[in-house]
Amino acid sequence: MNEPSAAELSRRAVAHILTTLTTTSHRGVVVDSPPGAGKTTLVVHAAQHLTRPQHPCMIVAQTNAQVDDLVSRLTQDAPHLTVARLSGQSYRAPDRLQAGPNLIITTDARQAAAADVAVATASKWANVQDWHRRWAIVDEAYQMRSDNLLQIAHLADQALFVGDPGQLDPFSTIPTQPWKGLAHDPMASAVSILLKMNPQLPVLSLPVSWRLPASAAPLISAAFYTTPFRAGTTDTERRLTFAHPGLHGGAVEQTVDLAARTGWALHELPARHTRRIDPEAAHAAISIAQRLLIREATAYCEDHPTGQPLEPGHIAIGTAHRDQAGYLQHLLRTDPRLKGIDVDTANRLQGREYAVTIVLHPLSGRRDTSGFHLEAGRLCVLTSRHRHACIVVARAGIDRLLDDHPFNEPVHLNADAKFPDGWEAHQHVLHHLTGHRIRA
Amino acid sequence: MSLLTTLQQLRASERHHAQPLSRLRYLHVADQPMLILPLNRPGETARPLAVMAGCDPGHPRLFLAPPGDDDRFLTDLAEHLHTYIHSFHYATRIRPAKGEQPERREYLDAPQLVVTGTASAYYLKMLGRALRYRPVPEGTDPATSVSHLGCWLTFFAERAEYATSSLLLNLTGLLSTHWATGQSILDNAHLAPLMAWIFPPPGLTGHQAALAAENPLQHPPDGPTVDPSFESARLSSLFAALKSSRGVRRQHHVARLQEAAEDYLQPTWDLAWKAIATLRGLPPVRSTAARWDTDIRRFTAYSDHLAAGGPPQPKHDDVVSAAIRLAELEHAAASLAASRALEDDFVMAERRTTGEAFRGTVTHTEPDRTIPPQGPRQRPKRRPLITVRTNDPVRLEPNRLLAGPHDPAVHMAVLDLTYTTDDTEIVLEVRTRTSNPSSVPAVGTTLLLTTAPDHFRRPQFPSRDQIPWTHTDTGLTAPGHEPGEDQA
Repeated sequence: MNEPSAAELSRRAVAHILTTLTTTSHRGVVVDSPPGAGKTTLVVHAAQHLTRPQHPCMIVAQTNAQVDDLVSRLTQDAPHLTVARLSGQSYRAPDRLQAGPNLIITTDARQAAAADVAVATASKWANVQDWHRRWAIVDEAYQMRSDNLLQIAHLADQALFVGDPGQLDPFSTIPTQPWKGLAHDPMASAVSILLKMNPQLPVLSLPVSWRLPASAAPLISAAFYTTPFRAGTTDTERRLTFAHPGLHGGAVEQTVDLAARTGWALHELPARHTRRIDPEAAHAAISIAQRLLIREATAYCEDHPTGQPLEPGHIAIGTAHRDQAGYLQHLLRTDPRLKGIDVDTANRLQGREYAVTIVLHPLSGRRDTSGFHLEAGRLCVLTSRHRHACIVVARAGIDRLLDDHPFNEPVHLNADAKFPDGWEAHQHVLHHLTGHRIRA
Repeated sequence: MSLLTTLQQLRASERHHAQPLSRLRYLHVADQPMLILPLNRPGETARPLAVMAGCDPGHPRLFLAPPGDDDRFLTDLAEHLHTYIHSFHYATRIRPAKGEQPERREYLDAPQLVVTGTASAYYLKMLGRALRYRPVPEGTDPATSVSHLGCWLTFFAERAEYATSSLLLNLTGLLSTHWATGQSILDNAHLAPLMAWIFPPPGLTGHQAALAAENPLQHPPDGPTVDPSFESARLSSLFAALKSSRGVRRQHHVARLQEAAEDYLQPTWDLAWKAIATLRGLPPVRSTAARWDTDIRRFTAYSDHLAAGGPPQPKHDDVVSAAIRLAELEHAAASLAASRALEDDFVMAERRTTGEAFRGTVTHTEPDRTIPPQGPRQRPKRRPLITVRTNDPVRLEPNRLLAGPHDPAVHMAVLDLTYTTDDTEIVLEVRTRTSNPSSVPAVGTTLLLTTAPDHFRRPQFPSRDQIPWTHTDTGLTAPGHEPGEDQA
C-alpha cells in the first residue's frame, strides 16, 4: 500500500481538527503544530468553520505583529467575513491593513461587537469588559503565560489552542520561582497549566512541515518533538544554486557550498573562550551572508519552480542574546549590499520564516553552560526557521563543554520533567552538525 | 553581567582592592534595625541551634536551643522580636483621603530586620513556615505567641523577595551592588571575605585580607550553616555530654554551649554592624524614602491583619494570589531598575554600554505638533516631536517610552530610528506633560535618556470563586485542595 502524500496527510489532519471542533464535548482542544506546519492557515480555516453557523468568534494572539499577520491573512482568504482588529491606544496600523467595510480597526470593543471575527493580543483582551463568545482561538498558545490565560479565559465558553510546543517557553524577569511545582504556576506556559488541570482534553497535531526542507525535518522532529512530523517537500523540490563559483579554497566558500548542497553547515572557528560578543564569529556570519549574495544564489522550491533570486530579505541571522544581535546589526550597516537582512534573538525570530538562516550557536565560546543557553526551545527556534539551508557558526569545543556540564538544575517536587531535555537536544543537533563541519 | 561591572571586577583583582560600583544607596537603612544571626543545628533542616539578635551593637542577645529544650528558646525569641515590632505600634499618623482611597491610619515607622546574606533570609523563611501554624496555647496572648513569630518571619522573608523592599536587608547582597571585588559571586555571599576586600586592615591588600578571612578558625563564616571545624572541635563533644547529663552537670554544659555559640557569632556580629554603618553612610537616591513609605504601609496592613485575628499566610499561593504576586514582583524589579537609572549616574552609564540608555544632542524640535483625532468624539492631541542624535550604541525599538534625569515625569515614545555609519538619529514624541513648554528642550541641549518607569496597573484577575475552567482542577479533588495536604 502506498503511503499517503504529504498534502493528503495535512488535509486529513485539518479536516479531523475541524470536525473535532464541532463535535467535541470538551471545553478545549489543543493542536500542536511543528515549525511551518500551516498554523496560520489552520487558524483561518477554524475561524471560517466556527463562524459559518452564525457564531462570531474571537482570536487571541500574543504580539501586535502576530495579530496584524492574522488579520491580513483573514481579510485575504475569507473576504466574506467582517474582521475587527482591536488594539491598544498607542498602536498604529501598518500600511497593509486598510480599514474598510470588512475590516474594523478600533480600540473600543463595543465597535467590534458586530464583527464575525475579532482579533487582539492577549493583553488587550485582558482589558475588555462585557464580552462573550462561544469560541476563542488562541494562537501561539505555548508562548502565552498561564497568568495571561487566567485573565481572558472567561471571555469564551470553548477554546482552540494552537501553538508550537518546541519553541521557547514564556519567561519572567524575576529570578526566584516560588511557585515551581504548583499546579497553577503563573510562570508556566498556558498550555501546560491547561493540560495539567484538564488532562482529558483532546491533543491533536499537524503532521507535515511545509517550511522545513527534507534535509531538516527528520532531525528537528527527532531532536525536539514528541509527535513526529515529516517534510512536505522532497530533496529535489528544494534546491539552492549559485550563478558564480566560489573562490578557491576559502572556508567560508566551502561552508556556503556545503550548505547549498546538503541544507546544513557547521562553520567551526578555532576553540577559544570569548565574551558574549565574539567579533570573529560575528564577522564570519557576515562574510557568509556576503558570499551568499555576491555569488547570486537562486532558490528553487514548490512555490518558485523556476527559481527565485536570493535577496537580503530572505536571510536571517539568529543569536541567543540581544547584545549579540545589536553588534551584528551594527556590522550589517557598514555594507549597503546587506541591507534587509534580519538579525534577531531566538525569542523574536519565533514564528518567522526565511530561505537561509545563519545561526550563532548559543554555546559558542562559552566556559560553562546554563539553563538559558541549554534551553531546547532556543536551539529549536534557531534551527527551524529556514526553507533551504541553515548555517551554524560556532567555536570548536562545544562537544567537550556539553560533556563537562551535564544537566544540574535543581529538581522541584511535582514539576514535570521537561521534554525535550536541552542537554540531550543539543547533543543530538551537534552530532548531526559534526557531519557537516568545515573548519575555518 | 554588564561591561562596567566586569571591568570593575577585573580592576579589583588587578589592584587587589575592592572598586566602587555605585556610591548611592537605594534601600532604606533604619536608625535602629534588628540584626539577626541564625545558626542551624548541624544535619537538620530549619532547626535552630542559636540565634544572636538585637538592636544594640554593644549588647547582643543570644538565644540558645540546647538539645531537648527548644520551647524556651522559641518563646524567648518570640518575646524579643515582638517587643521590637510592637515598639513601632505606638506612633501613628493619618494619611488624608486621596482619590478613591479613604483616609487611613498608618504607623510612622516600621521595623527592619537585617541578615548577613541570602542563605539567612531563606532560613528565616523556612523557620517562619515551620512556626506559623503552631497552635496558640489556651489563655495566652496570641500577639506574643510563637505562631505570630512565624507569621512575622514569613512576612519579612516574603517582602524581601520584592526588589524595592527594605524590610529585610541582606548585607552581602547590598554590599556587592556597591563594590566589585576580585573574588567570585559565591565568595561574595560570605560577609567576612567581602568586608575584608572592602575594608582591609592597615598594611594588607583586600586580596590578602580576604585570604586571611577565609580561615574558619579566625573568622567563623556567617550562618546559618555552622562550619565543620567548629562542629568537630566544640559542638560534637558538647552535644554528647548534654545527652547523658542531668541537673547541675547539664547546666554546666549548656553554659559552655552558650559560650561556644557566642564565640562563633561574635565576630560576624561586629562585622555586620560595621557593614550596616557603612551602608547607612552612603547617600540615598531620592526615591528611597518613597519606597520605605510603601514598606511602612505594608507593615501597617499586616499589623492590622494580625490584630484582627487574621490567619497565618497559606502554605501555597492560590491561583489568583500567585498571578497577582508575580505581576507585583515583576513590577517591583522593573520600577527599581528604572528609577535607579534615572537617579544614579553609575547605573545610567552601565545602561549606556548595553544600549538601553544613550546620551545625545537635540538637533530638531517641533513643539507645536498635533496629531489628528483618534476617534469620532476626540479632539486633536498635542504631541511635540524631538529629534536626538547620538553616537552611543542604541538598542531600542519603536514605541518604547523613555525619560531622562532632567525631568523624569516627561515620557517620550520612540517613533523612528535612523542609523548612519557613525551615529543614530532618534525621533521622539512627547507623550506626557505635553502642554508644558519645558517638556521640549531647546535645540543643542544634551539629553540623557533611558526607559521610563512604568506605573503599576494592578492586572484584572477573576475573583476566587470564579476561576475559569482552564485553571480549575476538574479531577477528583476539590478546588484549592491538593491531594496529600490533609495528612501534612
